[in-house]
Amino acid sequence: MAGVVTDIHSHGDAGHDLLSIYQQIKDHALPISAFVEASHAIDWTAKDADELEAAVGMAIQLDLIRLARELSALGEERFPESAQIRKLAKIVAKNQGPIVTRPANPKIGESMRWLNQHGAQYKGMWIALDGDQLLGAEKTGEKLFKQFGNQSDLLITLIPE
Amino acid sequence: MSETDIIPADFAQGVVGYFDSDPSQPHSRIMIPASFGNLAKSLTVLDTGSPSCILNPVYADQLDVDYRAIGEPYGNYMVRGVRYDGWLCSGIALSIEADRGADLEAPATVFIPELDPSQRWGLPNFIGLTGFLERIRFAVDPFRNLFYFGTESQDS
Repeated sequence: MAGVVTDIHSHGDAGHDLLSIYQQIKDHALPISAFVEASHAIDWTAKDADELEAAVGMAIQLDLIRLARELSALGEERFPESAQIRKLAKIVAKNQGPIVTRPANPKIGESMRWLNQHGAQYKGMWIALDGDQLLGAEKTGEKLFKQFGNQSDLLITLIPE
Repeated sequence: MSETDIIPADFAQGVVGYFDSDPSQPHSRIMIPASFGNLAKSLTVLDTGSPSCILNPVYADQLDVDYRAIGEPYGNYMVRGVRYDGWLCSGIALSIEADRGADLEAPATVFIPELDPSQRWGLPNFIGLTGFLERIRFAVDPFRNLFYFGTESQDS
């Protein structure tokens, strides 16, 4: 499995410096703020797409989502042809599409009430519910997922011990 | 708005009861019914400290998209002290299911672990920040175990 966020390489001087800081942060030798400061000190307008991709990847690895957004936005502006930068930008995007609301499905309330009333009898087990109808109970979830996992009206869950 | 009307009337469009324990851990957690993509609903941990939502890989195999094809490989994602390799997938529809009012669905970034044969996924699904919790309103009533959620009428 290789990718920008698993396979960090250095690109140019800036990339080398950032990679060194990134590795030191991973080794707990530097605080995470060192990466933000170093990134903000770089003139990204002089860097190429590979360098920006690597920087975004490292920022994602460090959970620096706001920085990753800044860098990927810059990358999209400067290198609109880069599919990889677009992909990374979408991964860290706050708005990935419209929020949709729809009337509640009454089955979920039925399932939650069933769990409150009968869940104790199935402690430690996985169960599948269709509203208040028990479809199955298993020691592991795999069988239920494979049988019912793609039925969006159902609830499949582990009952607390 | 008076001093006592702290929360606006249109703050939430939906409410659902939550469970306050996690079957896989001895800790208290807020677990609400939610669904990922076309999948069945599950009790899912509300985790404001998680950068992404996280989906059980066995569950993910039932998605109607090939997440390995659309995802970005991601190494060393830390989940409860264990590092996992896997895939970061953007645009996966995540829906919080209401008991009263309206369900709420938004596309979000989801981490799906890629387990090696020696690993098992014994954890629930998680609702995290990127693309989801950072875009919605929510409030918790711990006296009644109720989770309120909503959005602006015009999505910002």
